[in-house]
Amino acid sequence: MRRETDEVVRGFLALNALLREELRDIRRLFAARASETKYNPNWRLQPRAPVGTPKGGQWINGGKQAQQRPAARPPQPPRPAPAPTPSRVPTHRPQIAPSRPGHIARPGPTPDTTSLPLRLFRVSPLTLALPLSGDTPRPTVTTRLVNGTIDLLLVEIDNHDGRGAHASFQRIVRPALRTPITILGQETLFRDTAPAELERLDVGVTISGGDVVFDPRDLASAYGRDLPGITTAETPVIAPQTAEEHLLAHNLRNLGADTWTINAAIQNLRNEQSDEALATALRRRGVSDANLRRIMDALRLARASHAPTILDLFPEIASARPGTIVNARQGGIQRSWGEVVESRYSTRALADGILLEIYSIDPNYAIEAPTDADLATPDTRSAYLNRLSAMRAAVHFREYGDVTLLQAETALFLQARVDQAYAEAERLYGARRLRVRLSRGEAVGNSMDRQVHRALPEFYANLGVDLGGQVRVNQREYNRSDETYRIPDARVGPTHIDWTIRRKGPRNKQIVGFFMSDSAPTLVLIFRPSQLGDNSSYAITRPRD
Amino acid sequence: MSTAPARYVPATISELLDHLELMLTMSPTFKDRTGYFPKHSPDYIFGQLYDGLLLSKSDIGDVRYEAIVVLAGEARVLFDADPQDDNGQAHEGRKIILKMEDILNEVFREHEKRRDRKRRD
Repeated sequence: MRRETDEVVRGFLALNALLREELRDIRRLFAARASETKYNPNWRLQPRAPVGTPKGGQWINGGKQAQQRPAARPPQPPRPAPAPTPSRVPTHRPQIAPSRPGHIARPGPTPDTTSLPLRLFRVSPLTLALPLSGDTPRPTVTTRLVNGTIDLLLVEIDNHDGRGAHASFQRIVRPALRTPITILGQETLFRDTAPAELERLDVGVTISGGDVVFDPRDLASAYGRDLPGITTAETPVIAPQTAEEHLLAHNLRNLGADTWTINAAIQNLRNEQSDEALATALRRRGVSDANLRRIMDALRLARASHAPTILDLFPEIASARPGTIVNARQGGIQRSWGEVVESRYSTRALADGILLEIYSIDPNYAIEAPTDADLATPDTRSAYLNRLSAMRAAVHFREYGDVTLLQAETALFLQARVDQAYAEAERLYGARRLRVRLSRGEAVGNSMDRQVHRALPEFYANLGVDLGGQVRVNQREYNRSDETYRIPDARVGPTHIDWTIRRKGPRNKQIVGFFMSDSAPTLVLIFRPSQLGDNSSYAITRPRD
Repeated sequence: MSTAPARYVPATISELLDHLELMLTMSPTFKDRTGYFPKHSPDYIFGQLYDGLLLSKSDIGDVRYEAIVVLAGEARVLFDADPQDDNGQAHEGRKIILKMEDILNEVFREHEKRRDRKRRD
């Protein structure tokens, strides 16, 4: 008992030491910042030698001559942005008036900066831990979420030292996490909040009265994309709602499309109209053939990015007879993100769309902004989008009880996992490292079965989907009429799921048992490794009662 | 209310056996190729095993629990020493996983027997 008490005390002492260390760091940062800003509050806006030159990064044109930002930007590809509103997107760089050393006039909204009212930024609940005490004046920190994003904050810190507030744009690298406190290796019911991890964007920003002044192009470049209404002047009249609508609006804006075109395209996508309907309308407005082709490409890309349902994966279900086998769509149960993952830029555009969709449904859903590793290659970008897409399905299920998207995401996950499990089991069998009781088929089949049984609950746990009710793994499905039960590998809403190596048809006893259960599934999905050939996985429709 | 996803921990003997199957097939790197589990690593997978064993400690019993934990430590050392799976140590690590599986299978069978007896009574 005494040993345990000692350990607790030692734990608290260690915690205390850590906090003191952290406090020292924060004080040091504030001191450094105060000395930086003491003589030159606008040092961030001053010109520096470009990277790659002998004096790269150093202040240039200092002294009385200077205080002017370089007029020339590095060459950039032409961006046919929509016509800017003169008051918001002016055309040249800020001119900071020459002044005596140690004093630089605060730049006002100049032709190359944007000045937006502060009220456009929502105050965010995120708080920064600043455990200051004693004589140190407690700084006021205000964080505002930038509209149209879920991970970009405008952070304003006022040290109450008479020098005004410092502002910066910061990206949330990792959101605040609540984790259980562990004492003596045991998790307790108490929770600790690890503050969010923020990354400061290299964008000069000042708050002048009620306005935020910054260069919209710098912000778009540092954040990685345009923010309608923040870095570009126009926003579509029709607000995009789904991820694919966001992607469409984003790509059309990049093409320089006007508001009318963006709205028409979003409506076309939302109402599932034909390509021709939009093309005809655009031709009537005098859009050139080349532009028309680009717009239609953007529309097709957005359509290809839409959240799939079981009907997308098994299109023939709609016309299938009861009690028959329905093969998966051409190409099998897998997803290709195609052109979207060819660049980080387009991946981020779609990812932001999905994140906004999730955020609009459940603002508390814990999601992480993509890391560099997530965006490194087309494969990692695909994997990241797959995870986001599954999260979107989970949020639809949690908030609306709608299993439609979750069924399809489960199917896509299972096919990938079944294929991997089969490959791993085959590899181990080939190396004589798998335990064999009866035969190769039994050994490989059992291994695959158990691997997937292990993976599916983790898939749901990662999505925050509780098992039981509509989503079940390896649970009994009773048939009260004859007091029997069956155990499908999984169930998502009215769909029972089984993974196997053996082909099972509609007359298989187990499949008949599934359909006879009280949950009365409308479909049974059978997942078999793709390595076994075309149409290895399939659906079985409910037979006539 | 925050809806943060939970970290999966195998909560029953049957789930622990499935977890060992995953360890057997995914060792020595435990890297997931589907892209759905980017956090999978030796630390993560062994962490799930230890937490799962702790959850079922009362079912497993103290002696067998200690034995499995020791075996898990040995397996971890062997996997770490053979990340490319080319010097035979990962293979030895898998043999240890099979030993752990045997112990848990024994627990599982006892558990089933107890359940059947209860039903008969």
